[in-house]
Amino acid sequence: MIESDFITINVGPQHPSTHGGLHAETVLDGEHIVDVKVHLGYVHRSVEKIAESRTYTQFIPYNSRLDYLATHLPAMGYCQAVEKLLGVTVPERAEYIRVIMAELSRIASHMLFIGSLAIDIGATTGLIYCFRDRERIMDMFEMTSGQRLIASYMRIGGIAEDLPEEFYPAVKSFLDDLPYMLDEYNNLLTGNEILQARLKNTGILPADKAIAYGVSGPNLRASGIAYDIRKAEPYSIYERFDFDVPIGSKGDNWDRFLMRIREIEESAKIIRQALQDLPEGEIRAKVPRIIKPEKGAEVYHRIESSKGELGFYIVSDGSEKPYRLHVRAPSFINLGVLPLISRGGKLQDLIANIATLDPVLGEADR
Amino acid sequence: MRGAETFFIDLARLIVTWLEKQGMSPLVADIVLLVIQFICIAAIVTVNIIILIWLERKISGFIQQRLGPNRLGPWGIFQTIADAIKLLTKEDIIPSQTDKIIFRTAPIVFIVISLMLYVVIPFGDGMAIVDLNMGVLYFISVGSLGTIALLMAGWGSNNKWSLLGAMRAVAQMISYEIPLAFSLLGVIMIAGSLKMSDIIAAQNNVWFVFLQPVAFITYFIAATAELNRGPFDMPEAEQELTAGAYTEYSGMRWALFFLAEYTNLFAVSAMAAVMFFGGWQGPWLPSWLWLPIKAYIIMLVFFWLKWTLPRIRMDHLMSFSWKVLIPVTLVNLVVTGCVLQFFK
Amino acid sequence: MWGSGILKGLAITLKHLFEWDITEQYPEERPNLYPRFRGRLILNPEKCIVCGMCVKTCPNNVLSFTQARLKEGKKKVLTSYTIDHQYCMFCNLCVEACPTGGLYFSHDFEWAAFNREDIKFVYEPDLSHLELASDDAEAGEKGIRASKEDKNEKLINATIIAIRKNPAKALGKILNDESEALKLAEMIGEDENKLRKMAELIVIDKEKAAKVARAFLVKGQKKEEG
Repeated sequence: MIESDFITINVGPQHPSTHGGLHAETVLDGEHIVDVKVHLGYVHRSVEKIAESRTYTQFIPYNSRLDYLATHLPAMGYCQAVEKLLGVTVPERAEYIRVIMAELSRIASHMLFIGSLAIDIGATTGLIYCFRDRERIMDMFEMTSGQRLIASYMRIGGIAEDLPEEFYPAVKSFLDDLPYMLDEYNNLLTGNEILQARLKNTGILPADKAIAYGVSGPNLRASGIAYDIRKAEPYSIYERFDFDVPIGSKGDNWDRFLMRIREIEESAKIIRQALQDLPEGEIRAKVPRIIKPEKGAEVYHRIESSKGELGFYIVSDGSEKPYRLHVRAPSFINLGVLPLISRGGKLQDLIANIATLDPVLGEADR
Repeated sequence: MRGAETFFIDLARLIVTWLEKQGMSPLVADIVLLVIQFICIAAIVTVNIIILIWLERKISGFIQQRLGPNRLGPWGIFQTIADAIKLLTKEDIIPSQTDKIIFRTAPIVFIVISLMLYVVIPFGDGMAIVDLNMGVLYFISVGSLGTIALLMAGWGSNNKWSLLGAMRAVAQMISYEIPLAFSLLGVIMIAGSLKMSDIIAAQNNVWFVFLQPVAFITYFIAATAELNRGPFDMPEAEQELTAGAYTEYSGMRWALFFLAEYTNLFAVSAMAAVMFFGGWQGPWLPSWLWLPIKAYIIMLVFFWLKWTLPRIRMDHLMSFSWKVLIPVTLVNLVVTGCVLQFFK
Repeated sequence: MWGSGILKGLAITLKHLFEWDITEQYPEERPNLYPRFRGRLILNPEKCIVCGMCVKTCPNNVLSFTQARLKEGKKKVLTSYTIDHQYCMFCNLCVEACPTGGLYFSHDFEWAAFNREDIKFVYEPDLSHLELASDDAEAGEKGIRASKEDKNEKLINATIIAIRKNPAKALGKILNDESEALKLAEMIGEDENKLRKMAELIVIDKEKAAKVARAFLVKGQKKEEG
């Protein structure tokens, strides 16, 4: 008999495909994974603590640094949470622009997901094509807010500035080209037999386990549960739009991959409707310059971010700074299932699993 | 035209006669000529690799709608030279826990083995250094030695990633050695010889790619795996194994592996040109231009595949070899044999 | 058929192989910047009314300034203004806060420097022709943050006096118990350092002061017992 032993390897924090600073301590039996232990905290910047020493307005730019791939979504969630705390109603036009920006962020994030999945399983060119198309969204963000990646565009009570003139043709041509872009991804990646062989039936996350682990967002929907906060508990003006919630059947990597492609289509639908109904008017509600919610007031507000349920819990002590701010980060909670879905798979599946769970470490570590 | 065709052969003959005039015995003169030839091969290979690396970066750039290297020299052609200088001047790092002897020798073994492949390649009409009467066998057997170098690199590095990469390399290269050899067997059966010049001569009327299309495809796939190129770049697999067997290597040692891979790439492509595309045969141009042209076209396809496809999974890779490629090549062999017997 | 997807993918890459590149060859080609692009933060001193709104809004303490008053008319003038660009998040909050539009983002994005100091913007106008109010200069020059510290200092002194005069009332505020407050005052006694520290804590952070006071009392009790 040949004596064999397990080997422990550290996938990350300095590994090409760990999306930042993820550290997965992996026990291998040859190429088979026996166990995975996820260590976090390499990108910890104590954002929640920073919030306690910043005023409510000053904390807005830090939000985009949570999920830097979908820049407007966390900022929108935070601003809505503060608005809920203050009881401010946001003007119609601002709500519409927020939705447009949020959905564009979602598309940008999902495009990056497709690209990073492609490169993680070795198709370098897929990454470049996705980045090429995502660049157009970044351009739109630059037009509106002046910054590409970490735009601070949302403000408490509305948005910073109205949409510029050049934004409308840009978003329109982007939406018109979107089907061709998706066609290209589908031809290059989705239809590819090698990719299908690598994603199908790997990293299976059953629905009951997904619920038990608190998984949310596209990862949960891939397991076959149609739960989307935009539908289940509509915030902002999402109940006005007509869109579907795509669901998967099995919860494997393939379903999670398809979920993103189909969500891009749904987001595009929402943007089209929002652009059509976009009303004229104010873009910012009257909010006092110094925001002081009442003492002891607390709020939990959650939105459907591109990664899942993004929640903000804010407690006020009556001062101009939050007493405590907690972020329910979907990336962090989704990463919890990584050991579960990776056990028994191959080392190469682990890389695909990390990619399809789509964690943003800036958000997971906060 | 005639002068261009036999330019190199005439040159060699000139050198030999000159050496003999200096009072050397014909045997010594032949040995001196061989040394000169080998130095020439090494030089050609180096220049060739510089072009190849530049070309691959350019092609991948164009595929990805970029420009690729474009700063040094016209179209960035000197980029590889700059990279080589940078690699040469880098600090030579040998991690303290490595098996020093194995760690040092592995890149040398790899490059020597890949250079040995060039001995039998007929670069033109009568321009093989040694036209062995079992040239194909030599090519296959020497080619498979590269596995040892990768295993040495992986084992000597004393790194788990390297070890995993080396294990993958061994499993992959041994599995794909068999379909590679089997797919060449069909050609050998038709040509009736293992000698390269005979095989090329047998393709006077029709290239073997038309007689053996299946064999060509299986050869191509198996060769991609043998070369550790995408989509079969398991041993390196930078997204999974950081750099696989090469993880601990840096500077010129790493560059040697890199060079050896491209050396192998050209050798395997030249082999494909010899076996399936009529070798150096072609109209108008001198024969020693036709083989590189054919090899380059085949290499472009290699590049194209690498920059399009995702990496296949290790177990799929193995089952593809044993369950698909080997049966297909075996059936191809049987069919070829039957047809040959029938038309004899 | 197995393999058709691969062929489709190959067709895509082949198509792009013959397409023109879409990248921007940066140093030669200049990027097309949109009007709202946030490059370097620029101060227009002519428009500055020395209100300090920008400093108050900045989340990262990028901005700081010093001020002085003119002898005549008591008008505030800027004596220096510093933008420490290395901490700037380009969030636009200061620009929005500025009431006169004295701050704006330029389109300059090429400002690599070898030293951190080099990307710091310091504005120091020559004010020799102006007559500044001399008594105010020292107090005013430290700007908003300095004045806040000053305010604290005054409060601390007032608290020290209050504790000396009427410990039961001054310390009772944090302890909610006059007898305990008296005990605490007894323990602090004439120790200037302890007194000052307590007063500082009361001014800056009441809750912490209460905690410290409690801990102090407990410690004192233990000492008495053992």
